[in-house]
Amino acid sequence: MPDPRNPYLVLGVPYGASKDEAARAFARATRRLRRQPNATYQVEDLNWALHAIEQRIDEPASSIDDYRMPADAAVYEIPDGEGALNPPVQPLPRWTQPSEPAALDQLRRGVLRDVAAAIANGYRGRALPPIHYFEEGSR
Amino acid sequence: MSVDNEVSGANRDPSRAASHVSRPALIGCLVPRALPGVGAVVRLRRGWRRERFVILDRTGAGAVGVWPSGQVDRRPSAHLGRSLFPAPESIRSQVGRLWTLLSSPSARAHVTEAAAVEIQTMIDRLLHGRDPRHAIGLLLDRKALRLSLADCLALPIEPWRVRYEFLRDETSHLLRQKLATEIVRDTDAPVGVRLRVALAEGVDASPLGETVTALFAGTGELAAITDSQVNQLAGALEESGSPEATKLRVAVANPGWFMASSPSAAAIAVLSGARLPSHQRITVDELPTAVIDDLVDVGAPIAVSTTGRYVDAHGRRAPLRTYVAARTRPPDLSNDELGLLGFEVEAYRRFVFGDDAAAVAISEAKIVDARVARSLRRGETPVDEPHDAALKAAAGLLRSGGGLAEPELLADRSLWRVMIGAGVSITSSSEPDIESFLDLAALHQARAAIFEWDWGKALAIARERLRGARREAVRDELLNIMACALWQLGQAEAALAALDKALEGEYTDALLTNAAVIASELDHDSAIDRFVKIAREAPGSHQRAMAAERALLLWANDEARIWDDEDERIPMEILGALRLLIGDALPAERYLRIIRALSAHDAAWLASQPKSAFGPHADTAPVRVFTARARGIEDFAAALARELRRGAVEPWVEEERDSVVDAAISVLAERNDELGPAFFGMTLIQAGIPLNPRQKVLLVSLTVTSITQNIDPGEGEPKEEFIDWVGDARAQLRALEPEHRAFAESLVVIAGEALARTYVEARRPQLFQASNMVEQLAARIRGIPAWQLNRDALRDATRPVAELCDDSWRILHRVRPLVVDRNLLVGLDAVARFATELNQMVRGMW
Repeated sequence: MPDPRNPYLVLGVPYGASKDEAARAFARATRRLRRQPNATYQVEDLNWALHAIEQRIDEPASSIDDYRMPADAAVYEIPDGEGALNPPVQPLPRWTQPSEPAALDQLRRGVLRDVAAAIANGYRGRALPPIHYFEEGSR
Repeated sequence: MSVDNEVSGANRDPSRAASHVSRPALIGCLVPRALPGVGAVVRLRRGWRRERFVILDRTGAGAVGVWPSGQVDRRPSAHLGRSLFPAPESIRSQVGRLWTLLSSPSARAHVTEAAAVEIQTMIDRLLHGRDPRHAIGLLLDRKALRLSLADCLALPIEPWRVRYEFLRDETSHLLRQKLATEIVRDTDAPVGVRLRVALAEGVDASPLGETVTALFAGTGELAAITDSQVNQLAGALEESGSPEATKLRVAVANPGWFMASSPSAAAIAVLSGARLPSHQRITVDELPTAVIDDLVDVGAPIAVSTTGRYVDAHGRRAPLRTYVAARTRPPDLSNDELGLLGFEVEAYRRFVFGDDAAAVAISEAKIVDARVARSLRRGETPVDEPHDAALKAAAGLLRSGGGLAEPELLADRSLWRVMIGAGVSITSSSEPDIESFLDLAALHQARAAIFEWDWGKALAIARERLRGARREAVRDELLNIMACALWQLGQAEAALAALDKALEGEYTDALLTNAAVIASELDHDSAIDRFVKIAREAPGSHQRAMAAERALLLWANDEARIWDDEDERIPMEILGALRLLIGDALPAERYLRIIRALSAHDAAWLASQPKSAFGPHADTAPVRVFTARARGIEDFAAALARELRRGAVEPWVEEERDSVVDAAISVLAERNDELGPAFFGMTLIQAGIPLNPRQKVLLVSLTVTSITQNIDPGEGEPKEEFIDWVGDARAQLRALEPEHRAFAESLVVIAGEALARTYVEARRPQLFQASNMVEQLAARIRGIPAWQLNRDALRDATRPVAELCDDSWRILHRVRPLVVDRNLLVGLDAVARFATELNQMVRGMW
């Protein structure tokens, strides 16, 4: 007959809890025992449970020895939506009014200037193209 | 006249244009070359005399020239004779050739004054005629004719053309600047030429007007530029031999085309809905702030490279770089920058998340709310009274230790954790948000009760919520909590029923495990079924293997019995679960247990598996040994012998050896009158399995004893090698511990004497029979004279008897050292002596 005690339930920690979590839970459960003299478990049980968890295999997911509480940890996940306690990152509101058409027209002229500047840079220091030249061959 | 006027066509002087090269079609000018022979001096027949003929021009059929007398004449080309002065090929223009006739001393010697007058007349006519290209030809021949800038400026050509040609050749920077400046200032020159010269030489382009200055020099007001002016400038540049200027036309029509090279173009493109290449960011240093904000609002990737630009608004002033960061990546800002910008929203967020330093950028009105939000977030009861309604409600719930909350509060999901932690409840509803909250609240409260050993409370909470929960995963978990609570309350059947309900539909392997754990406490068949299911369905091979082992363990109900050979058949479903694991990458120890169990309980199946079925274990000792075991005892013994001889064997191999040898010893000791155990022992000995001295002594002694007991001496006798086995075993006695030695020695003696007794009993009747045959033969030959005896035939007839005697004596003497019993020794010696005497008798007859 297997031991009906489950070390995780005895210490009150989720199945697969680490040794550190178990140690902290052990301390909590010990304090609880002081408050509840007729509790389900005794200090001996807590000692056993702490030792049992420390001896448990490294991969609890592959164990079939213990009752798993919870069986599905995902259903306990509380949505951490944005709101009063989780204010979202908000960008600084703009300090300007949306651009007027005239501003966009100015921007378009800026493009012309950028293109003109690019053309001027291409010309700077370059040889001038010939504009007078003899025909090849005779008239 | 400014270019602005010029490009628009104003102030064009038709009369002047007519006297010069007309614009714009003739900016580029193609000058015809002088025809061959023009400028040459030839000798031609004129009447009965030969005279010099200076060729001034060529026509289709002949040449026009001048005689020494000054008479202009026309002659067919065929009559042109030998050249006195050939036309200079290096000079390409017609005027240049004629110019040479007058200016070159060698040519001038052939030209009379009268002819020279006609030549000059011809030159003047060409230069001042309707075709300006003759003058341009002379300009192009200026180097060969050594014409100076002043000479050329005196020609009837627009001065800008002369200066342009000289500028193209000039190497002096100062002179280039001078020529370029003169061209740019020359309002008669085409705008395209002036602009191109200004841009190429870097001289002041202001004479070209404000449009050019604003567009190309980057100074001046852009707003006044019209598309038409830009297009005309582009056209002027194109006409002056600058095709790149087409880009200006494209920029007018579709400025976004240049988004790869122009931030303004990229901004226009993005604001028009285009998408930038993934790697491109718009450098916004020069863009208006409103446009930068527009770009941020549409999510355009932007960058700021300047540190010197500032943005001013609302009485604040911040570097553009900081402003853009605040608009795009607020978390990157420092708290000081938040203060500079008055960016309270970000400061509030930081403070709520624990950044005390952000408080400097939060107003007095908001800091209280921030402190409360931070406390609530940490699960602490806030001290202050917040202004925000949601915070106020949440703080009130926390202070009252739970209670009923307004459903509207659930809209803010960031409050859920606090509300659930405080045990807040809410009016039940079918609203999705409320259902989700109630599910979570029940799950957390029930789990907390389980962890506080309050099984009854957990059961009640889970049972209550199960009435309203609709999501299968939630219902399964509530059933799991109920099962856990019931199990701990000692109601395993009810717990298992709850889990069985959870296992309907989709389920997790954790639920299956839980069902198996509880079922293990009830009936084993039910637990086995669950473990077999886990062994088949669990996602991990380790878990499957553990479940299969657990099923086997439960079936056997006795851990010590599992790995032994048992006649009882393991249920097929357990074997099926074990079979699935032989190809899995399991830990060596677990794999060993599984394949050992299969070799014992599913030998036929295991023996039939190909090597590939064993996956990563195919070449390991467990597979070699236990598949051999599945094939039979001979293969098993041979496999063990091979593994043990390899050296450095794993302990389990020796344990297998010990197990099988001890089993053989045990069965030989108990059933020494049966042949089966004897063959079992013989198989192990013949396989050559390395044994320890004790095993060897016991196994050999018992095996030999068993064999000899099962042999009828009247029909056969033991193999002679058994004598060697017993001899070897006797030699091992010295290696035994003293407490084992006496017992082992007695077994060796029993084996040796059993062998000896069998040999004696087998040989004695054979020798008596042979003796009778010899005596009868001796009687028959007794009356025959010795010389009449055929001794060869006699020898052939009696040789088998002699050989029997020799062999009997040899064997009996080999086995004699194994005998201790005096009576047996006497009997053995009597038979040996009898064999000796009979042998002597036979050989005496020969």
